[in-house]
Amino acid sequence: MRSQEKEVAHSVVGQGDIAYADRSDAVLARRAGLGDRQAFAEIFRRHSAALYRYALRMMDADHQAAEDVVQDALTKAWLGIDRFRGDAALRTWLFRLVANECINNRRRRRPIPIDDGLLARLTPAASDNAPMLASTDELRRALDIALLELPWLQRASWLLREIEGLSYREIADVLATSTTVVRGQLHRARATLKVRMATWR
Amino acid sequence: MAMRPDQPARRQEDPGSSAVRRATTILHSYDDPRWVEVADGVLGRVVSARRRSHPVLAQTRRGSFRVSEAVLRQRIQEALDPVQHCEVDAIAIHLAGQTFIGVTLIVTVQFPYPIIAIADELRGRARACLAPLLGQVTPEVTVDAMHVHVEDVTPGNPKIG
Repeated sequence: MRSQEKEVAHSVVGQGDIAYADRSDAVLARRAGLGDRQAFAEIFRRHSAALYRYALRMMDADHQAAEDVVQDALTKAWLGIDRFRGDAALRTWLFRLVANECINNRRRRRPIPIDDGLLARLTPAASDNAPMLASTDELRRALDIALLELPWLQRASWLLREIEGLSYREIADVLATSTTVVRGQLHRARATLKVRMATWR
Repeated sequence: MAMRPDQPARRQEDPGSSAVRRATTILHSYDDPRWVEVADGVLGRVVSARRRSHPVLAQTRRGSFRVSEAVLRQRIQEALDPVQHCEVDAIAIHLAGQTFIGVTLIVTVQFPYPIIAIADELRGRARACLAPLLGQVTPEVTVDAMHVHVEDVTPGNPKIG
């Protein structure tokens, strides 16, 4: 090899020491697809807590069920990430897997249709109750209780929008529905939670 | 700050909306201690799941054995990682049955770095990685069996994205 070619060849080889934390989701997904477990571990580090947070509230605060859901969903992600083409954001794809596992898990445990009309209804307005001063933990728990009372699709839509910050389009993608339905579900969820939380300040 | 007479009175948030807004902020930043406790175990179980993969024939002096296509892909990716100004997006391993035929490396290269030099480096490293893994197979593992497809050219570092 001539010296000039050697120089060019050397210039393209380096240590390549870029931290996984500095790489984008898309790069990590491609690397994980090639078998890079560290890349998948970084994806896990970035997203798993949010996925668990969502699963826990969709599985009626059952920690073991939520853990099972997240593990099953992320196992599918690990096995199938080589086919992830980036049509949606990685985060949306992961939430879709978790949402589907939540449905599967609920159907295994309780074989009834996942239908808004069959789930818990709104509690009466709290206008007669004296306002309650809330600590941080009490306020969070009150919201969690109020969320449990929401029908499934309203709960899912609200969590994905208000806690996880997904767009209407992304939520529709995760829940396999339309943005029109998402907007309607959000509107009802917000109205219900506002009434349910009215006693807290 | 005092309001000007011409400014409309700010609508006061109702108690329910205020409570929901505050609780939402709290919930958004809350680290569930149960997840902190179990996360490492969950990750370990997840990545121990095996991907389905085709076997590829390899040859030693004492006989033949098989290597998983997934292992080859992973080893190639590790061998190519130090090559700067490019990122391997996909690795396609071409087989005739279980016999290795060739590899196509699908890459993104950073502008304005020399594509030809990068491609040559990638091909050489892929061959150097595969030949010892597969041994004295027929056909022999040569650099000509390593193909590079530059799928994209980006202004930024493709290793970061």
